[in-house]
Amino acid sequence: MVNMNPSIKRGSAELAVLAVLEQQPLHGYEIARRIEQESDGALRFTLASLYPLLYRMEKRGWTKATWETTPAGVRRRCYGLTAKGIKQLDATRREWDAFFHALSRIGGLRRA
Amino acid sequence: MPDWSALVHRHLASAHLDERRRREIGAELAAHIEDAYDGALRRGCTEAQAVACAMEQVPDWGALAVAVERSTDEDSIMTRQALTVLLPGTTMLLTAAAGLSLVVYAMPAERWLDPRWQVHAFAAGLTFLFYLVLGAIGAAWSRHVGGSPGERLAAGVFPLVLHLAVAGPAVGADMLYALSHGMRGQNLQINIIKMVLILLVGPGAALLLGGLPFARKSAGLDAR
Repeated sequence: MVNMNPSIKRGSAELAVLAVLEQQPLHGYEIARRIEQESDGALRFTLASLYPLLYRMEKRGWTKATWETTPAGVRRRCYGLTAKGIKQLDATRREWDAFFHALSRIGGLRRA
Repeated sequence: MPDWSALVHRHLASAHLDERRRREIGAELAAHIEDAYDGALRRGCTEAQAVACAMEQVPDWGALAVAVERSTDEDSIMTRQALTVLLPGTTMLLTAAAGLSLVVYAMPAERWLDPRWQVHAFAAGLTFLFYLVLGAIGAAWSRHVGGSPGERLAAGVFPLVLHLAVAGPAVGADMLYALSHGMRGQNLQINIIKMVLILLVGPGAALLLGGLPFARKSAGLDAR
């Protein structure tokens, strides 16, 4: 990921993970792959950056993980959003929206 | 193909995790590395390239073990408040103790008994300013590490603990002294009120005033 302030970086990483989990429950590798794909490679998670975040989010009750067997017969731990996680995603989206809105006013940024 | 599970378990051995959690995390991380390895092979990498690609997932195993360990307990109330209240608060308390000790040590004895009110007013003003700064630093520090407004205020006024520890016995000793020397009624009350004002209310107000500007809720991106 881009080198930036740790609290901003953590907040953006949380938003990215929560947003991909909103679509469907996924296991860790798939979460990282989806984020990379959907951000056109701008956001990349390695195992080392992803799992501590996933465990923290699980501990906060934003996600719930269950072991599932894939069609290939492999067991993977899949993360899904809880009601608390959905609420958090809404709050994080609003927070980032306000942040970008403020930045765009100050810096004349164009939003996609 | 390397034994990813053995590799992960060997590297996570230093993490303080309960056995069930360690097994679960080990299995999950090994599966992730295996997926990365399979993905690299599917993209046309050679065996050696795929292993290298899988190993790139964890540039520093020691850091990962620490991060995984922390992620399981860093949000506990104790850990959080240790960081946002106790650490800045205790540091400011020790600074206050060191500052006061220095004043007591450096001030000539006769200066304490100086009859001029200006001398005492100047000393009180300096002390108030000192505590104002301590309160501000404590609260700002707490804000910097992600403290809530309440935690910032608590960190700011934390040095008051020192005064409570000193004022309690001091007021008690003063009362005993006064009673044993025949002081009664209004004089005794005035004496106690003076001590409470000097030892508690004054420093407390300064700490609170210093911390207040940093206790206001700031916009969205504070560390959680």
